[in-house]
Amino acid sequence: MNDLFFYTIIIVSLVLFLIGVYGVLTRRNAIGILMSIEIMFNSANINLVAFNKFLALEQNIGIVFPIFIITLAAAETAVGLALILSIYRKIKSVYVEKMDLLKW
Amino acid sequence: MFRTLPLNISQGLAALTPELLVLGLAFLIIAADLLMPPRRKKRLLDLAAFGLLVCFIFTLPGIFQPAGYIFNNMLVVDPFSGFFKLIILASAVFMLLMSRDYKPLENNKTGEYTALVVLVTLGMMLMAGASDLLMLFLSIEFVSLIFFVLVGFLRHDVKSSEGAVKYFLLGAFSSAVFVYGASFLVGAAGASNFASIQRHLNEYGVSPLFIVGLLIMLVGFGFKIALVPFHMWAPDAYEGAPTPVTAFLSVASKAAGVAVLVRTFISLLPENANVNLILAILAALTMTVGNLVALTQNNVKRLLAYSGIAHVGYIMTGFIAYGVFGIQSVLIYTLAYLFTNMGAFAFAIAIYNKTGSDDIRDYAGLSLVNPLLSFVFFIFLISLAGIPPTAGFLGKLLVLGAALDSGYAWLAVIGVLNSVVALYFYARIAYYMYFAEPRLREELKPSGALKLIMAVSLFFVLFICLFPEKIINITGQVAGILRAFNGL
Repeated sequence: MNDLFFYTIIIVSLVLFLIGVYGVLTRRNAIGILMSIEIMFNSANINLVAFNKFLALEQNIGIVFPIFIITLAAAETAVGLALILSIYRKIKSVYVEKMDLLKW
Repeated sequence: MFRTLPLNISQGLAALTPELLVLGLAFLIIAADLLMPPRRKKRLLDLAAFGLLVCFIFTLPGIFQPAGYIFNNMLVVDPFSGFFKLIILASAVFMLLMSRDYKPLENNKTGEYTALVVLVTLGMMLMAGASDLLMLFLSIEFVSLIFFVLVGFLRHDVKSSEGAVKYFLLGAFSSAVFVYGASFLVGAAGASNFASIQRHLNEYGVSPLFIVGLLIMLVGFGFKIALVPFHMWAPDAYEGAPTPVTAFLSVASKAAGVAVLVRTFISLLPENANVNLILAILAALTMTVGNLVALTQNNVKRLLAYSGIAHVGYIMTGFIAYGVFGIQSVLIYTLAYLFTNMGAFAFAIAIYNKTGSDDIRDYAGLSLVNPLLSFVFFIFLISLAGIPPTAGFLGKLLVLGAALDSGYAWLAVIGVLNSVVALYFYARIAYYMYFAEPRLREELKPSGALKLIMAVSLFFVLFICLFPEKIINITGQVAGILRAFNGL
């Protein structure tokens, strides 16, 4: 029973991760990509918390690690939104296919 | 076997003196930025360069110290991390000196720029010493976040913003992949610090979940050091960024990434795990794609970005050899790459200040009016291509030797073929300089700082190849201690 529960959680986190990857690969909107990346971070959080619950982890690292991940994901979003805003002021768009000045 | 006990907090602080000094310097610069009158802000760059030079001197004993864990196994101090800290500090000093004379950065928030550069140096020094997955993640993020901002620092320039957004999206994606891989490692080994993971592996052996996690982490590392299927951000970020930042990104951030990659794989991957073939294929792909795409580039920064990708392929080739000789070749290659690339970028800045362009065709006929400078640049080019008597040659020789030594003859053959391809596009720049119809008939007159960078780089590029005994001895010791301390 417990085993089944554990594997369900791991599979949920894997599905979340894949949804995130799919979003990054198919979204054209930079903010959409950012949201997909956040989903990927959260799949790692779920993984870690599940490992902490069901396996014996040293120093409860499975709880400590996600706190840092959440904080850093927030910082990353702040920096990312600032950069996206700065390019929006110039090309009036947040769509990545409009950012075509640099290629090859 | 060679193992030292974890050190206590005061010993840990003592071992971290260089990092603490860099942190203090960053705060000093933020404070000085508030107090200084605007027209004298350029002095901040000098102050930071001088301060980092002092830290460099404090770090020098670091390559002779014994290895040990500090701060509850979060960080490790050993000659290997000391060596990479020296490379990072040296490139930061070069980079600050270059920034003094780079036109687009003049009177453009010098204080913020300097403080960010000093902080990112601190982040990379921590990366070089990280021995815990949590610390690794934090320091990599620390460095990435600051580099996103530095790449987009020219806010009036669309190219700079575009490079920053692309770098940000792929960098954040790679961090997410990295941390997902790390979560598997934590689950499989029950701990996040390398010492405990090693104990677990010695006791229970390696599980498939662990290898999967490590390979997912490799994708994350691959983005950071621009291995080939994950290299798309590098040329865009390099072209958009201010040139000193490009130089810094291509040398220091790559060196820190290589340090982390080598340490993680040496200390966490058992030799019987059979992932070397994957690494070898990645190395071969990286070299080949980097060199082939570089053939068609006309922008110097973009060309150096692709050549940098190819150089990472060579570094990986040495790393696959795994043994002491392999690590040693990686260290020497990184050292050679530091001086060669810094010299080449200093020259590119001198030209940009004159012509406002990074196009290779604007290098036409430079040798007529600037024979000495052109010749110096020519030496950097042949060092990048790996022709004697330059440091690049020694690095390439050792890397390919290490690959042969460990039975990857096919990889060494690909490496040699690639250096023939690379010769073409480096020679193309030389062709423009020496034989094309000149466009610019003025003297370049680079500033004193740029001259200093080129002179120091030139000296070491020649010195490393002509008198290699000392450097080979030191790197041999460094690699030996890393192997004895971390090997499974």
